[in-house]
Amino acid sequence: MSSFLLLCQKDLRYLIRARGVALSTFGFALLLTLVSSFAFRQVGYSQQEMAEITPGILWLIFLFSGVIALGNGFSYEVENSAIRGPIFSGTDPSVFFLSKFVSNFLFLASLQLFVLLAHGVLFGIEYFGVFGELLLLALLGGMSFVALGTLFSAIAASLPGKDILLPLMLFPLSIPPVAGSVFLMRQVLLEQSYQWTDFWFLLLLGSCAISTVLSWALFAYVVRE
Amino acid sequence: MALLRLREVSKRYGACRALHKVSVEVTSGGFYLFRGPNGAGKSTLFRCAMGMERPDSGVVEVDGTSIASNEYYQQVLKKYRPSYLGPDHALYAHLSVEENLLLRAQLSSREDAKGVTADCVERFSLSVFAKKRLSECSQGMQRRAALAACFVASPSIVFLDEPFVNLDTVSAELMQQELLSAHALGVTVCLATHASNIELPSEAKTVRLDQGKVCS
Repeated sequence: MSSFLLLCQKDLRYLIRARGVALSTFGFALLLTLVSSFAFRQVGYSQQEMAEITPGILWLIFLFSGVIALGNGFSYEVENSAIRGPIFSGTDPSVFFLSKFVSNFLFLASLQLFVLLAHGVLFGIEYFGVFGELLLLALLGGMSFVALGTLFSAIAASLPGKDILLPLMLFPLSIPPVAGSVFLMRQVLLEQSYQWTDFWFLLLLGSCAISTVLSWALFAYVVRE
Repeated sequence: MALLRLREVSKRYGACRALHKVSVEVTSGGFYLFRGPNGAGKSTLFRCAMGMERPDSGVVEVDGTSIASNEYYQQVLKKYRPSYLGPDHALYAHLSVEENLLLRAQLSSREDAKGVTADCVERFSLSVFAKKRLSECSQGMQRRAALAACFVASPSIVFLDEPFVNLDTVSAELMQQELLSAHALGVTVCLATHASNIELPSEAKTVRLDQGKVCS
């Protein structure tokens, strides 16, 4: 088995065995959805107004629950300096990053799917017909968020105040992909079309590519330092 | 030819001088015992030799090639194959002892990783708790597992910083025997310990450090 698959397997084992961590993250996301349903649904917004604000609400939930998942995703690497094992075994730090990125992304993707479903039920919104497209746009934004989050969680993991440092570093740089994803999700909910060449779509794709490549390139340096 | 050579290596942590112009040569297949009081610089020396710390000045050479810290992982690890056991055991708490050893063996590209792992479990008397998660093991058991993990990757050199901490007398003797066996098979050993009753091979060399300087 390749180093990449071995490391992914190790991360998957963590998610299965430390079920409390995964369950609490999903529980937190559900709680945020529930609170936001009380905050927004009861106000009496029209269908169109709900479509305008729904992507923003969804992304707030993705960001707050996602940052917890990303923090946990690296905490067991620094516990007892466990990361030294793979690194001193000659594992290329870029392979380590890719495995961590994939594990984190799969977890966030399942979290986004769960939140979309929970949001639909709690807000009484029928996503039929647009669910796939909404999920895809959320995943694209999530990819960029996870790439940056994987890098910053590695930086923050060994620093004092890591829990607050991670969102402080991550959220400002997540603005471009989140803005792109929010705008396009709103277009989809309002049943308005968009082109592949639209500014917001290019912003979303561009930030995805740039953040993934940049995080991948910088991760090796962070691990070495 | 020296496998590892530290030349005039200095390292400070703020106002604290950890190493001051330390020069040490480690030849391939040798056994080196590093002695000195707390704060003498033994751990810092090992960390510099492993590339975990960048010296403020001086040079660390492996096989005659100077190690630039940024090139360490890609170039040197594969050639040098060092193992390090420090205060932390560098194992995953959510994996079992056996899974940790297997992962280390597989990542080190060992052929027959499963066989090597089974052999290590046997040699280090880990069979009783091999299936237990590391987080469920006692400190002493974790230390034994960490020592086994150092050798499962077939290192050419091992740096052991107080490896017998938390071990009972029987376990400590067993670990010493394994250390001597590994050395007999050609592994270079660098051992830092305060333990006085350890068995050493006849050719073992002692390096004494005090206040960041080599005394002998």
